[in-house]
Amino acid sequence: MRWRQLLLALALIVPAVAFEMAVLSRLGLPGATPDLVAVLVGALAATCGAGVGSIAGFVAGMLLDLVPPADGTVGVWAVGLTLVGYVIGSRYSLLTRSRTATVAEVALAGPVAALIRLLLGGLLGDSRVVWQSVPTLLTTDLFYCFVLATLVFPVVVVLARRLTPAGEARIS
Amino acid sequence: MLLVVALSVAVLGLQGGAVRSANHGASAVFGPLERGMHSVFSPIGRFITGLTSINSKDRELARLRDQVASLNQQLANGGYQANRAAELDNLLRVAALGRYRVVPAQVVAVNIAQSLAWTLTLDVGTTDGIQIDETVLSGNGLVGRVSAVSATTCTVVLLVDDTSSVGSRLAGTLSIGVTSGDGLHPLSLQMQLFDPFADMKVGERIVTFGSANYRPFVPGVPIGTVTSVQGVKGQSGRIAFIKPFVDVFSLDLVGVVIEPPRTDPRDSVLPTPVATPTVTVTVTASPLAGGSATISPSPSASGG
Repeated sequence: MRWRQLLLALALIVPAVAFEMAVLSRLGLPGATPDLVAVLVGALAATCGAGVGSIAGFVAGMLLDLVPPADGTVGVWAVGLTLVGYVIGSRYSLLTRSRTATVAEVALAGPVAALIRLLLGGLLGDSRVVWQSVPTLLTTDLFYCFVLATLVFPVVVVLARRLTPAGEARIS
Repeated sequence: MLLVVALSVAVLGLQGGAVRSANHGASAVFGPLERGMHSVFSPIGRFITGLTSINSKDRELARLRDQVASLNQQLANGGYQANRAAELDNLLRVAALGRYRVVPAQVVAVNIAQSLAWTLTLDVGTTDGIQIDETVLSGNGLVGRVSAVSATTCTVVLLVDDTSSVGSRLAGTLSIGVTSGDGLHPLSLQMQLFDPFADMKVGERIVTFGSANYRPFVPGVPIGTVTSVQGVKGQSGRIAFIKPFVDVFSLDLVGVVIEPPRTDPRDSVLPTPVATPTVTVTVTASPLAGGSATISPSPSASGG
């Protein structure tokens, strides 16, 4: 286990959850809330691999499901973010890709996780899931996540490089 | 494996005790964290701080800049505090008119839009006497109800949330119905009137009817104004669209009703619609007299 990377993931995700719910969601932006947490999970997965990515996704998802204003089915965000963290992490270990492509993939983490969360919520009979609102929600989410990913991904790469012993970092 | 855990929590643990205690734990940890975040980021004016460099050789300049910055900050804070005082004033007015006992609270966190739940967190909890299923109101009207509470925070489900519905009454009448949100349009609620023959006109206002034992809703809290009515008189299931008094996007200071009124305040909490004399104050500055003020009361017959 790469403990340093896991600690880094925790140290980034916990304040990010609080920041997302206390500040980002109150900005009153049209459509979705800029999903800093999902972008972080995507960035961590892309730099540290599938193992760290899925654990980060699980922790972040459980926090999004449990932390106070959250209300409703617990575990739906956890499923979405675990899957996203795993998929991005495992894809990254297969091929080295350009920075832009990775940022785009990290940006997709937000809307994909949200879509999985909504589908699962719908399946489990969450009456709040209204499909009319989903297209705008996901497109605005993609836009915000892309902006966030261009800012967050380089920072995560630098942090992971600093904290990880030589030879373990995947980013070239 | 994590996926299995998350899925099984989602499928099985809907109301489980473990989930609830996890929720309590999360709120115990994140309540203070969110409050911290809020206190750091909320008053934008506080960002204006002295950014003067210490190693500047002109100390006087630095000192003056410092002073300007701190005065600017005070100015910005003044606006913020005036706004807050006005909100508190409004809240006090509503609490006094309805004889509700209210604990003022600050909104510290709002649920993310992707979760589709219109909920928010307040900075008061069981230590402040808050219990589950209490009414939350602001100086303008009904906000929602308390759905979960921890020691220092509580969660409020807003009126526009899909799971909210509140027994409501047309002001000035005995016609009652149920008002609910659809979770999609935060600026429009829907009221379904029980009596198919009741009169319902655009511009009429509705208040809460009051739940059994005043939980979760105390009576008499203003909800909103009828903007349009769907269906014809006599038809069952008529729907009135309601514009709520409370703007969910600008909620900041709210109050939790911890003690209901002894008697139903009826319509007394509603802002008075009768013609109020508007006082026009004209101040003309003249160099000799120092200033002369003309006060002319003019009754305006608007209202409805």
